Amino acid sequence: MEGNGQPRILYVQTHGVDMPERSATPFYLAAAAAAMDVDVGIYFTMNGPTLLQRGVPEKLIVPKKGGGGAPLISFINQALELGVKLYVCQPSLDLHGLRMEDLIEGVEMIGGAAFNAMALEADAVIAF
Amino acid sequence: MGEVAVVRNCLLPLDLYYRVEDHLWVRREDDGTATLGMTDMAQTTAGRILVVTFKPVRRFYERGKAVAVVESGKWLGPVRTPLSGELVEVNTALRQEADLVNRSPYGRGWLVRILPSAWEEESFFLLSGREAVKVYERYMADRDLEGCVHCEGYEAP
Repeated sequence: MEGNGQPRILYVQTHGVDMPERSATPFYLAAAAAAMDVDVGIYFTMNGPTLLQRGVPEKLIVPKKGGGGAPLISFINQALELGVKLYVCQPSLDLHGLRMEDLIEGVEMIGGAAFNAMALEADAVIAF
Repeated sequence: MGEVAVVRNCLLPLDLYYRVEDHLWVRREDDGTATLGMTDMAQTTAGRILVVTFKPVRRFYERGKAVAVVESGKWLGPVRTPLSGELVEVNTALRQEADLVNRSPYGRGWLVRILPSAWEEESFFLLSGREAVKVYERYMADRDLEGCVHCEGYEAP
């Protein structure tokens, strides 16, 4: 997230692969914000980083009543195409025994202090 | 409207300007404003449009900035104005019936009107209808796209 005069929103995703029904919305809302020229980031903490493991978003189906849900990767790709930035919490990676090389491309690792600095700079922080 | 070209079942009125990269059409109105809308190709690719959200009117937007966001069941994307200028009007009918974009992309499903501040310079980047036909033919052939889909009640230009 950069100080270029654009409004800024920081989303926080705490849910992971254990709750597929809570996986897609932050990506969707962030994509919608980016489409409106908002500078957007999503910070993955607690269980959130598990969504970003290589190979997972292709297989994780976002459940829909009656079946036919879309894979999480389609939400992630849409967000990335629109310029949404993805940040992962370093201690949360440790918590799940994950390393950066286990994650999909385009994710940046930041610590707790950097997250707070980002939150103070943002116009809105929305947590899931 | 005047003559309409057909490329793989996609309709392209020849009297409009186009921005093929963004799948937008532009019509210069007599009062100097420019009306923007999505092309037949755009409405087909997006699928049934569920919501159109507009940026605030009476504000100035630089070329390339989002003036609306279009959401369908399978896609979400910005409508980036190809012309700098003031957003003077939005199509409020889309708040009730967003899928007018699908049913009438060149008519009742128009999106916004801009008062261009630099038409002379920026219209240079728009294609005429005949130029757009050639570009669309190549665009669709390169991607091996099937033709446009027209839903029930489609209002041809």
